Amino acid sequence: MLRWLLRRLGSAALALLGITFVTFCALDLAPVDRAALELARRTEEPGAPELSTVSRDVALAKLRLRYGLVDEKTLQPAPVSQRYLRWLQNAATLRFVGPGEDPVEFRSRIGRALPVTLLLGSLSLLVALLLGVPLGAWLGMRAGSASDRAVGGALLVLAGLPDALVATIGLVLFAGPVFDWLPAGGFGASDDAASRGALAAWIDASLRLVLPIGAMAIGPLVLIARFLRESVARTAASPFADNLVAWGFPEPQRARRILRVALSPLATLVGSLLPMFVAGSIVVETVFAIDGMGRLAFEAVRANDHAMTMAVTLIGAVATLVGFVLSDLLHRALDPRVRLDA
Amino acid sequence: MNAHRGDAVLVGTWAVWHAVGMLAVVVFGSWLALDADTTDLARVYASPSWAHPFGCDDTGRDVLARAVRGARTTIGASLVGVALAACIGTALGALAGSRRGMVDAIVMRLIEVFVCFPTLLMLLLVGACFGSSPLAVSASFAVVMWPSFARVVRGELLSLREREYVQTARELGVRGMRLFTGHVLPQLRGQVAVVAAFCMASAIVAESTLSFLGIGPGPQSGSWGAILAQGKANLHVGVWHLWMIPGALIVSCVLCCHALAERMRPRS
Repeated sequence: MLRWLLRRLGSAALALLGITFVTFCALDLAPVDRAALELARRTEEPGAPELSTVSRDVALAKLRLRYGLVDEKTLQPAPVSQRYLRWLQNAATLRFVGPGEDPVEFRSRIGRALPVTLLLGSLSLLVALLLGVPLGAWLGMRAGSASDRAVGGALLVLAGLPDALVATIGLVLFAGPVFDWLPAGGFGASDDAASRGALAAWIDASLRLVLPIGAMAIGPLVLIARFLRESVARTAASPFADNLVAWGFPEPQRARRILRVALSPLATLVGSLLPMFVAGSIVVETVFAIDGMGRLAFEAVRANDHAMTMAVTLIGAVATLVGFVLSDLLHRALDPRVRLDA
Repeated sequence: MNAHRGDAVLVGTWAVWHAVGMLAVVVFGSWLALDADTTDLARVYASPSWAHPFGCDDTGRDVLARAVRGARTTIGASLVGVALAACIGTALGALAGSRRGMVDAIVMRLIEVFVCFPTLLMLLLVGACFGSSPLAVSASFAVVMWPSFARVVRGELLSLREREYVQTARELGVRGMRLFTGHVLPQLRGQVAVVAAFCMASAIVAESTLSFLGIGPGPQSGSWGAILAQGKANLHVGVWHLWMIPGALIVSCVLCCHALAERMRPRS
């Protein structure tokens, strides 16, 4: 068990290294001169002094030095390997920014966004599991029946809906045009609700979460339900299920035993859902104006914020890798057959 | 059981016609000479009518003309991206499956890296760095989707190489490239086509999402995601067609891809 875990963690670490390299390449090879961009941003600020050609060149060189684009000694463009190693060194010590910027402020931006997204993600996963598992089991027990086909068809349509469309439909149905029941966005209680006491603030804050969680949960929910339906139907048609009948187990007990066997492969699926939540959080947080990691990532990419993009990508990738390892662990714990292979 | 089969055939037929229709729009859309750019304040938010079957948007542009142009960007970019991904993925998967050893290990690690990567984040990254022309979007789809092809091709190769007919061919002296292209590749066609159909569905969704967020091939291209974003922005005015029409187009294309995948799945 320990050896398996060590090997698994080793390969995860290798994958992580690969991810950092791919991210770095994607950003570094981009035909964008970050120093020139930053300088242009500064000179466009109101009240910024007009720069002469010489001071402009000096400022550019300083910025390039700070971003690690040039070598400190020779002032020639630094080779890719050197820039990558330097970035990796900074990332390992959680210093994602260049020497001149404030790492504390940078970390606090992530520190504010991360809990919001974790809350959204974990609640959505919970909703997806609480609704998807019973639905999948119910369909699997009736595989091939008219109700299975009708609900299965509906699930197929739902599986094709992009997050953006789900969020829009949610807004249409519940936040205005049809039923004006829920607030259209934001995170946490409004000042108005907060002034009316703790309970009102709590209710307002939770109402604001309903639509984002619904929009984020629907994709994983459909996947879970369809996956479990297949798994239950397969188990119910296996010799194992015939055996239960032969032993004379009554129907409810049979269903429970079949479900217990059919549930264990779900552990691997839940791990692979994590990238979906990362993607979902980008769309959902942007649509509902929630300041979480997804929005942070979106804004960073748009604003060419090199350091923040790297940091957010790295955090997303680490979360995904941890999810994969955890789901493998869970699968081994639930299903003794997996342990026999190793 | 019979009714069940009938349903599947009906859905398959619909999917084929849908795909043919969409491709026709992509290829011949510009011949229709629809005017997608003229703004007219008199018809802002106009509902669907005979003159404008899909209605008009918030600046009075004809939504049908914009949707036709959007089909070119959305489906065109997705098709090119999936085709690129299929070529890269099949080549790498074949390399891994036939060479084994070191090459196999490297390709498998690469696949692992790309699978762990949150797809949309990757697309955002590539999109932001390499501009948002349809070609850049296609290239980013190729980067994100090749592992699906590589995995399937590698797995199939590993089982095919043990098959008798491949061993017979090898003993008869067919080797290397010839063995792969002449005897193995034809067997992989079905599997690759199924993966391609699923990738096409997710590419259409991804392209729409990118344009919805305002990072895709730009609002000028009239991509479906961009029209959806307009619809979302104008919800408070009570216009329905602006989000329903692009939404229905996206969903029907995605369903069409799923149905095609189902139809092409090799029966064993």
